[in-house]
Amino acid sequence: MTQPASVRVTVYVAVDPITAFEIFTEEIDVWYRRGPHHFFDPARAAAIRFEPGVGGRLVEVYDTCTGEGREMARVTVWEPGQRLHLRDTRNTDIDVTFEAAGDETKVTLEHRGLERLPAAEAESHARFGGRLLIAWFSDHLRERTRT
Amino acid sequence: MTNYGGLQYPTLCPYLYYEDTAKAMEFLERAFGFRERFVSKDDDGTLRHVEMERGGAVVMMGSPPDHKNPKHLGQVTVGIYVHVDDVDKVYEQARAAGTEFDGEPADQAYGVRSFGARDPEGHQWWFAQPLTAGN
Repeated sequence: MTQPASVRVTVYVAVDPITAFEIFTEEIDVWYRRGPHHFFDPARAAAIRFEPGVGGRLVEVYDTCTGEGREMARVTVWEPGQRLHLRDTRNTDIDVTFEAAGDETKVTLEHRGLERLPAAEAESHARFGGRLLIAWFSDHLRERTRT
Repeated sequence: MTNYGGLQYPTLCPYLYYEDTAKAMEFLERAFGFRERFVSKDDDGTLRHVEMERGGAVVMMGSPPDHKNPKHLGQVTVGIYVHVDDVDKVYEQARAAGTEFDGEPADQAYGVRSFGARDPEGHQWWFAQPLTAGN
């Protein structure tokens, strides 16, 4: 069976859209979970950070003094409180939208272009990938708003 | 509960087949208050697999090839029974969405206030609220 070309995961978080966007981007190093499959080079990865704005990078940081490391993705849309779009180094697209929904914010992450990946990698992204990313973010927000 | 791929799954998840899953998603949200949580698609945009949730309930949805829904089959083959906190509110929401009902909310001898309804493809749904909480 071929893998899907895109997966979309939606969560509802108990903060406003601007705050959700800020936590997604500025606090990614707090909620992004370390693990053998979550970095290109898990042994060297010391942090992960966004460079804000269109053209900014999502960086797997190897040197915490300079903040330099390996580019994971490039920001193509940066609209605080509304939308963040990334093109990763494998030429797939990660589109995150933030939408007010009553007292909550609906956060949707869609990972597109999986058909451009080798089958095994596409399967891994479909089964984990963005699904884990949005779950980590959501768990972090739940913990953060609880305290 | 089972947890994988970042999502939590109740031990039992009904997998509902629809001829038009996109329309069914829209209806389940508008009429019954379900919310989309996972969607996968093929590269032509065809829906591959869908999950919607309401409270702790999760339904999976999809459109198998040559599937006949209950409306075209001429009979209902299963009923989906959902426990809710305010059954009358759910009924009003469903009514506003033009839902076809199997009766209005009513207190049942077995301890719930419930009503039955059909989704646009003829699947039967029941929504029930315990008459006495905790007993």
